[in-house]
Amino acid sequence: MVEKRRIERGGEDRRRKVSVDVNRRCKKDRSNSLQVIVVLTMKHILKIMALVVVVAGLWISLLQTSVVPRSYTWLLPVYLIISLGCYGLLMVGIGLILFPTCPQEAVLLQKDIVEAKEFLTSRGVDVGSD
Amino acid sequence: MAKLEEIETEEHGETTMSIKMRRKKKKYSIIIPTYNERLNIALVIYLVFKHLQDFEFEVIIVDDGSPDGTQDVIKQLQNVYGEDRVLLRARPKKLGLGTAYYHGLKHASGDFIIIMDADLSHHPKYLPSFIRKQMETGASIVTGTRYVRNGGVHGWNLIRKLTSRGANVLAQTLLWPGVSDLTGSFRLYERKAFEDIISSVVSKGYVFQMEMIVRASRKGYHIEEVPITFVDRVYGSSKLGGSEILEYLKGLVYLLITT
Repeated sequence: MVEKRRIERGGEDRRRKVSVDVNRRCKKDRSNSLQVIVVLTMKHILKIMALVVVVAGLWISLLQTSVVPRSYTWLLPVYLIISLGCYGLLMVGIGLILFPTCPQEAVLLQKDIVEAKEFLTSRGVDVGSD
Repeated sequence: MAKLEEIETEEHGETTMSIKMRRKKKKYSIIIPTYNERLNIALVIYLVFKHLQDFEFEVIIVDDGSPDGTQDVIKQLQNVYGEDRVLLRARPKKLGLGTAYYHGLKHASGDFIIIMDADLSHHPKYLPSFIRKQMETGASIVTGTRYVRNGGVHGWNLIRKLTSRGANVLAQTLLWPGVSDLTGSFRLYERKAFEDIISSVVSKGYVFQMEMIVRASRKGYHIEEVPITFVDRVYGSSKLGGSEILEYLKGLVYLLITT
C-alpha cells in the first residue's frame, strides 16, 4: 500500500513537473509550431511523412478500438500497398494506351528541313549533311 | 539583379535604347545550349526567324566548345540574320546544361527567357503559342507539355514510352508538382522568375529541368502549359543513356527532401 502511494505521489509530481514544463514550453512551442509550418511548406517529404503518420494513426486507432475484427485490421496495410501498386500500374497502363503520338509531325518537319536547307545554302550557310 | 544589369551594360552599350524599346514591345531572349549541333542549329534558327516574325527577339547560343564546327555555322548565321539577333556566347568546354542557361541569361536582354533544345525535337512553330499563352494569362512560366491532347511524341519505342510514363507517374505521385510534363525543356519564363528560380537550382543535366519547374511550383509562380510535339532527333545521336534512370531517381529523392 505504502509503496503504491509513493508511486502515485511520484506520478503526481511527475505530472506537475510535466505541466510546468508544458507551461514553460508553450511560448517556445508557438515559435516552434511556426517553424513546423514553415518547414512543412518547404520540405515535401514532410508532407508525405505527415500523411503516412495520419494513416498509421488511423490504423492503430482501428486496432485499439477493434470496431472491425482485428484480423481484418491487420491486413489493411497490405491492402493499402497493393492498391497503391495497382494505382501506379493502372496509371502507367492508361498513360501507355493513351500515349499521344504525332507521326504527321515528323513528315512536316522533313518538309521544313528541306525548306530551311534551300534557304540557308542560298545564303551561304554550310548545311552539308554529315 | 544589380549585378546582372551591370553585366548587361558592359555587354551591350545601347542599354538606354533597349530600355526605351522594351517599354514599347516585349522582347524575348531564346537561349539554346549546343554541343555538336552544326546542322540542327542552322535549321532551328531558320525556323525561329520564320515563325517569330511578329515579335522582337534575340537568339543566344551557348556553345560548349563543340569540335564539329558548330560555332563556324553560327558565325555564318550571324552574317545572314545579324549579330545583334543571333548571339554566340561560347564556353571553352562542356560545362553542363544548368550553367549553360545561367551563362545565356547573363547575356540576355529580353523581358522573357525562352529555353529550347537545339536538336529539332522542339519545333520553333510552337513559340508563338507560348507567347500568346503568356499574354492571355499573365503567367510567369509557360511550359510545353507532350502528354496532353494536341501534344505528342514521335520516334519513341515501347520501352522508352514505358520508362517515360513510369517516371512521370512516380514523380506525379510523390511530388505533386501541378505540371504534367516535368522533364520537358521547352519553356518560357518571365525574366525575374527565371533569375529567381535558377539561383536556387543546383541539379545538372537531365534533372535540372525537373528541379526548375518543381521549385517554381513550390514558390507559387503561376505556371501555364501549352501542348507541344516532340520528334526524336533526326540528325546526330541521342544523348539519353542507361544511367539516366538512376540519375532521375536520385533527382526525385533530392527534390523530395529539399523542396
